[in-house]
Amino acid sequence: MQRKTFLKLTASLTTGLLLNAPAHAQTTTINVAAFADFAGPFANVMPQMQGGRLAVIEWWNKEVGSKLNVQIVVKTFDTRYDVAQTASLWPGIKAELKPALVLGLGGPDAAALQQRLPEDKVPMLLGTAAYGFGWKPNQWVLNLRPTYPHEAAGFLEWFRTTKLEGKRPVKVAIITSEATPAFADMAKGLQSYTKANPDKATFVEAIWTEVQPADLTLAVRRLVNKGTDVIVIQTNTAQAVATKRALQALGKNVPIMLSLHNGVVGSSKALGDPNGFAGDFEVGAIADASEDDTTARKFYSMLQEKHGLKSGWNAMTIMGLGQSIVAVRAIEATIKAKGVGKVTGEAVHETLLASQFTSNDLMGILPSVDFSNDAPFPTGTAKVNIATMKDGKVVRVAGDVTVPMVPKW
Amino acid sequence: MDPSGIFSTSYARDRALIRTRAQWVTLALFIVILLILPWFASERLVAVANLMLVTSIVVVGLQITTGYAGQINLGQAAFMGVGAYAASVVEVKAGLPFWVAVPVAGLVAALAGWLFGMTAKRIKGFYLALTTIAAQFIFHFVVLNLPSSWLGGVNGFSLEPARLGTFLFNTDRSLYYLFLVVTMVMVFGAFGILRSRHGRAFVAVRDDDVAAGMMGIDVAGAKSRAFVLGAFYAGIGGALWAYQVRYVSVDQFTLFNSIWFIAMMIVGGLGSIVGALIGTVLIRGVQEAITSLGPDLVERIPSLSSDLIFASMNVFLGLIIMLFLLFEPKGLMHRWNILKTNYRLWPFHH
Amino acid sequence: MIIEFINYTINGALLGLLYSLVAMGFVVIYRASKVFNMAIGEMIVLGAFLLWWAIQSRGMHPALGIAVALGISVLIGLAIERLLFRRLIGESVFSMIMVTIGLLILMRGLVLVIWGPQERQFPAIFPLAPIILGEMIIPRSLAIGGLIAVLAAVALHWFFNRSRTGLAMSAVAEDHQIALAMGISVRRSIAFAWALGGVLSVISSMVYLSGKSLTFMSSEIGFAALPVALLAGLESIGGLLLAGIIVGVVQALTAAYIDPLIGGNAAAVVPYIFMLVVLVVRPTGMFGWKRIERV
Repeated sequence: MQRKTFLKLTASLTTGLLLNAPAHAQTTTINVAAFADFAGPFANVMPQMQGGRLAVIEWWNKEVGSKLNVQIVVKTFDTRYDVAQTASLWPGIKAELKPALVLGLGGPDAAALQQRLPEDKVPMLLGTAAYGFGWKPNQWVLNLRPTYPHEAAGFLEWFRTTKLEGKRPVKVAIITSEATPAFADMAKGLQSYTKANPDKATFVEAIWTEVQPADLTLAVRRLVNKGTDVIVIQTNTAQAVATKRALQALGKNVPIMLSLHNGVVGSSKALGDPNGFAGDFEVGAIADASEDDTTARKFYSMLQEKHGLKSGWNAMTIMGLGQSIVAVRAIEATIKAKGVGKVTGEAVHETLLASQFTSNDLMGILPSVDFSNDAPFPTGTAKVNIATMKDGKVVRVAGDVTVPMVPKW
Repeated sequence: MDPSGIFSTSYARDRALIRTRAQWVTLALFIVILLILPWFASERLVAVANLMLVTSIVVVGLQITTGYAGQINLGQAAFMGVGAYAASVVEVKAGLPFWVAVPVAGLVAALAGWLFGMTAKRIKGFYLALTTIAAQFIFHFVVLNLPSSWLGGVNGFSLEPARLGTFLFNTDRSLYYLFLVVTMVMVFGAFGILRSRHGRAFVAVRDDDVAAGMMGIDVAGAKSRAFVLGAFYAGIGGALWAYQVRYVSVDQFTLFNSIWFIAMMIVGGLGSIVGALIGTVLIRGVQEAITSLGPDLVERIPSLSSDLIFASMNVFLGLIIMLFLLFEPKGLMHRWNILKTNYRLWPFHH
Repeated sequence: MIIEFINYTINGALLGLLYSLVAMGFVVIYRASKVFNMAIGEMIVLGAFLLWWAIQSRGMHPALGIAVALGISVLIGLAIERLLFRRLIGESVFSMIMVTIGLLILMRGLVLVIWGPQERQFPAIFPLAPIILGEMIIPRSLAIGGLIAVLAAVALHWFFNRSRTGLAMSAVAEDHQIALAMGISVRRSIAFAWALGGVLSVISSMVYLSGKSLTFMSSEIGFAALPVALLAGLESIGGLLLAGIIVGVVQALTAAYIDPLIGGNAAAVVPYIFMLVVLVVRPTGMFGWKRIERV
């Protein structure tokens, strides 16, 4: 008797499980690897970027993915912004996770995986601006923004046409460091632009100093004496602060152009004056961090309310948002083109190259994105947003400014 | 030190590296395990092993210069970089295959080592350490500022995979075997050098170079040779690194890398090749373990934020190194030797 | 043109004096304990963070904040001696260097764990307005720093070469065992050395970062100051001033005139090349003790 009951129970249990099983098996998971830096130079801004990334994935899973029976799963790895660490982590990630896409962090990830990804056939998306050494054809490491010199060129041309009324070329100087090739690259690219466009910009000088400069007063005075119109600082906050102190000591007011990772808010905080960088600019080919009620801001607020986004509205979060929105749109397009089961790295790469994502698709975070085979960043469609600081807040000055051509250097 | 009961009856036997049958068997087993490792280890472990192999070549070189000859060398990463760049130039510019590029890289690095070795003749101790730090900065500056067409300047060098006929070394497994072979050759070479009269000269110079000079040893030559050898090893390691990562850039060979190499040497034990290998494996292993465990720890203990855990790695490793220096300054090998001797002499203490 | 040149020279000399101040922290530790402190950069960052914590985070008045930071750094120096170097008395130069390298890694990690990697504002301890002499502009913090460096060098020079305790400590720098044999407390000497090193690190960080920003990357100045120590010769404190001025001036002139020409940062490398050249000619630096080696 007991044996029969036991058998009956087992039979009903198994049938029950079998009947239920197909329902679970229907949702496909797509794996995405994310690189983070929790102990290196970007550790302080990592939580915000990560917050942005994860919130977008959450949103897409709920809104779009659930309808397609697809869930994107993100696994984060700490690469410490170090080439050796990335190189040793990657084979394991590739074998175990089999990601369709990688959300990269910056220079070292690109350096470590530039040669491997074409063979491993997984594309990587970077939210930071590109560097000259990544400017090669047939890349699988794709930047959502053009190079730093491109962004600077966009700003310089805007500055020339508005502030100088197009009357003469802009005199531009750059303060950077040789501590890493990435920083040195910024100067070389800028020089390439000025050499190719002598009617639009003149290169005054490149000041090479330490990552934490001791004193820049005399160097900046040299720039001021030569009539510099704009000082470009795309490296870090320490150099921005040192330059600002130098300008204060000299009593001169030359506008500084910053990038997004060392933007006006961060630099003002490091200076100790919440309005310290008023009148200076931050430039990037991605949504700016102003309080204007743009599509991007609306998207951010929605994520904050409904999907647990805790990071503030600032450049790092926006970069995380930008990375993930392109990622999810690419995956979405691949699903539509090839089917749910065929979302491999190769397919996603193909989609990225073939499709054009409009700014609306990307919720206004980026201008329309169109990758081609000859550069790792969107060549034709890049536009920069220029913001400045007023009363301690980020205020947009110009949006969707075209980026001029910069010859490869 | 042989176990009791084992005597050498000829000079050759006395000098031999592997003396007893038990040692032969252990060595054979060890090599077999290394050879079949890729089959039962995950891909990530193979990649980690590759990095360990490349680093261990560099650290063995450092051991020769600093551990055996007593010449403090804080510029080993710069020599590694010289090798990496040399291999890239040979491969990319001259189009020669890797089995030419790697030895050439070693020789070029050895040349750089010789140049700095010349300063070692007059400069001693800490002053020498600083000269090697200068090597780091000079390397950085020179590579970044030479025209891009020479050494890639800011752009660095991208390489194609190593090629043997039509076979491409572009998977971790194939690279593993290549690196394993090269490492075995280099380590065996190191053992050979060190038991020759050159090795003995190194040790004499380390212990007291004035006395060594009085005994007729060419002290200047020995110091120079120590640097040349150490740099040669670093160059080979650098070339292999170039073929593994396939993108060479100046910021992969910084002063901090040199400092880590020294740390690996300390933990393993100064003056022992096996110690260098153990130190490399241990430190890299701990780094990788923390990187792997980190995300899991963060998930399980949400109160510890992720930046705390990963930043703690530096603290943890620094602590290990310091503890070793305080309690076991002669490194793990010393501990191991004591263990071995105790085992052999049991139940006697010493 | 001439005025500019003089301005560059003066500012370079003042920057060089900042390097001497940093190098003084290094040389003092060596002079009283025979330890080469490779972790000098990290000690400066630690000192800077203590100042930041006291003045910015806790809102203390700058004078009080400085006093607190100095006090804590003295305690840290004593702790380092107690925990680490007490065991290493009599060990080789090599072990000492390695321990400080380990200390470097450890301190960097600790700073990251305790304070995190954010950029922080460093208080403007010295007034921000520069000193203006006609057409020349001289940063006030560097000028005051230069004065501090000179005073410190004179005081320390007198202490180590003329006072009884100082001379006893110099004996420790020669040889631990002999000092012990002569009844000099090596322990106390080392403790004093590290405490003094900590104090000098705090002062150096004040001059270096006043009014600017602070992160863990600021430790780079430690390595930049080492050529100054070597140029002077590791045992000479007075010589540091001269060596600092030379290195600072050479660096500043290179940055002003040569860097724009070649489009690279030669100014960072020039101190090292200069040091190399001098070392080849005088292996113990300009004023270092010439050691007689005995077999």
